[in-house]
Amino acid sequence: MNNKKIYILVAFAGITATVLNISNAAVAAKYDVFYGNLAFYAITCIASLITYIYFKKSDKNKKKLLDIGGPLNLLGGTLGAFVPIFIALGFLNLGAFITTMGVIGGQFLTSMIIDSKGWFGLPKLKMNKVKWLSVALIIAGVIIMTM
Amino acid sequence: MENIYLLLSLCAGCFIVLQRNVNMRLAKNVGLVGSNLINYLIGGIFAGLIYFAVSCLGMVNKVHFGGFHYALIIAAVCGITIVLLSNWLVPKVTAIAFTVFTLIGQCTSSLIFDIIIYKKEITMTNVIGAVIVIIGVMLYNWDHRKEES
Repeated sequence: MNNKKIYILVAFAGITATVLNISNAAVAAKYDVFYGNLAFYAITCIASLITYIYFKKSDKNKKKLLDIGGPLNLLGGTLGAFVPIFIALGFLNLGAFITTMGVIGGQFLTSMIIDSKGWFGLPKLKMNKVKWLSVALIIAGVIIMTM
Repeated sequence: MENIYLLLSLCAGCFIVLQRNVNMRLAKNVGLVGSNLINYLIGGIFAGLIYFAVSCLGMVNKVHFGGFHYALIIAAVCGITIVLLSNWLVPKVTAIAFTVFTLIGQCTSSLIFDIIIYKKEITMTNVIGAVIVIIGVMLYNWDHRKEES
């Protein structure tokens, strides 16, 4: 597969993320954000169970599902339970574009904090002028969008 | 009031990154598909708890419970597609290219959906703000890649 097709597929992954959020917002608009969130998790739970059963057969790593390595490793699912609620509220009240930009801004600011502190066992990155400038630009961009 | 929703979208972005990193640690113990399953299982339990809490507070209409919307299937298909596509594409392109092209896809599609579905008017300040955010993200990635190489 050539590079052009791969880049188109990467952009398609971004479009898919927006379609996912639009779909969640449509469910939230018909019922409410909390039921929409619960229904989304119920469906994706079944889908991920099917994926698990399908891929586990070909998985060479025979790791046990219950060997989670500490309760803190379950925090991902806990935080994730709030994400569709926040995004659906944003989509219904601010629209897709501003919410998407807000989510992207939040992702990069958090990544920057994790990078600079070296959390999650990741290598600690030294903050330089360029990185601080990019952080300032992200914050300024989000503030300008609210004007 | 709009600023609260923007703050919530920033929080969503923050939670997504924390979730991704915690799941990465979990995946080291139980594997990728196992981590995915546990993530959605725990998420489902907490989504149920949140629904129970808000329904006790009278914030939701319980008549909706059990309702089904076709968009749920689209959301589930999209969720799995993103995971599979990302796992397949990440090793094939550079990190900056992945970030930039995902951003392009997200920005253009959200703009189109805003105009077609939400009938929103995109103001000049919205576009300028978004362009500044994109420049910031690209600058951070460029500097990060430069340090790595």
